[in-house]
Amino acid sequence: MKAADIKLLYDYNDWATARVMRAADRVSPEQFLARNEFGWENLRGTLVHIMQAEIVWRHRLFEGGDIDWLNASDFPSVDAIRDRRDTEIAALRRYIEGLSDEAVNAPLAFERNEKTIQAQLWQFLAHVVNHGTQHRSECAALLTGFGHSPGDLDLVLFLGSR
Amino acid sequence: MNCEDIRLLFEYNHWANERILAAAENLNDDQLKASNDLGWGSLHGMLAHILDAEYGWRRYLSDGENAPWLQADDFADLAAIRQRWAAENQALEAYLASLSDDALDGKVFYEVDGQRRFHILWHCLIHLVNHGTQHRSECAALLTELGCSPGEMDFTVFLNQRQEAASP
Repeated sequence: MKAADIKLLYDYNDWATARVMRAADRVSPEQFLARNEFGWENLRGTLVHIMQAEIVWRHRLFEGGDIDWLNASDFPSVDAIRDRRDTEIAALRRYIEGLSDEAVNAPLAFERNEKTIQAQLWQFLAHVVNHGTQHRSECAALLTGFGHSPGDLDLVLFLGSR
Repeated sequence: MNCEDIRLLFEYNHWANERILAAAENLNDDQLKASNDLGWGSLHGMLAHILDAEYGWRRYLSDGENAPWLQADDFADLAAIRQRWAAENQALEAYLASLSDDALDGKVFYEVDGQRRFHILWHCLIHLVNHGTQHRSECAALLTELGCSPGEMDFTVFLNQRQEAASP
């Protein structure tokens, strides 16, 4: 893996999340908090969970150690999530932009759910993007149900638009 | 990008597909084909769509051919989807095995509104895995609602299981 390849994946990650957030701007406060069965309670919880993974993994991978989980109830609106994410993603991007090819292939090990995961740095970074795709898809399904589809989120669409 | 990393991502893709298919085994045919609003008609339709993307892209990337779309109606039931998917898995694996690191940076031409454009080959391959994750997530949501969650499908969970399977 090359550092430039990982940067491309994070460009996509930001593009796709921005699309989902723009669609989320159009939902009502009731829709923002409407319960679903997907695991993160509602649209708000799912958006916060995507950001949560970006924050937690940035700490684990670049800042040494874990960090307390966010409380979805601390975010009263899509704007509140966006404001926080802008700050958090800028911090993550500073690390991503500074990576060398050698660094992305460096082996690392983490404890997770009482298991040790050994992998190269890029594999953990790719996990965060893949995790984002997984949960953006849930957001997109909810948003589409509310009549506010974010549109296609395909990687090739992003690449074609550059 | 290099072939080893691409193959690892496709191994994950296969593992995650299998988790979804295994969970879908717990449904009856009516549940599998129940209509939903997520864009592919039903869970049956979504599985056919994930398989179609793998098949269609593999054909286009390997022989430049626009293969006819696979659709839900092409498959009578889950067993028929699985059977076709098993053959596609072999074909995809053989295609990936044929690639070199240099080939991954090659151009894949396509046309939009009469204009010739291109993608980089490895971008198309990553797209395919990402596309699978997008739609597996929809499948997982439906399966969970029906009481048959496929469980966690994180890349890190796959890496951990792979590592455990390789340990003596």
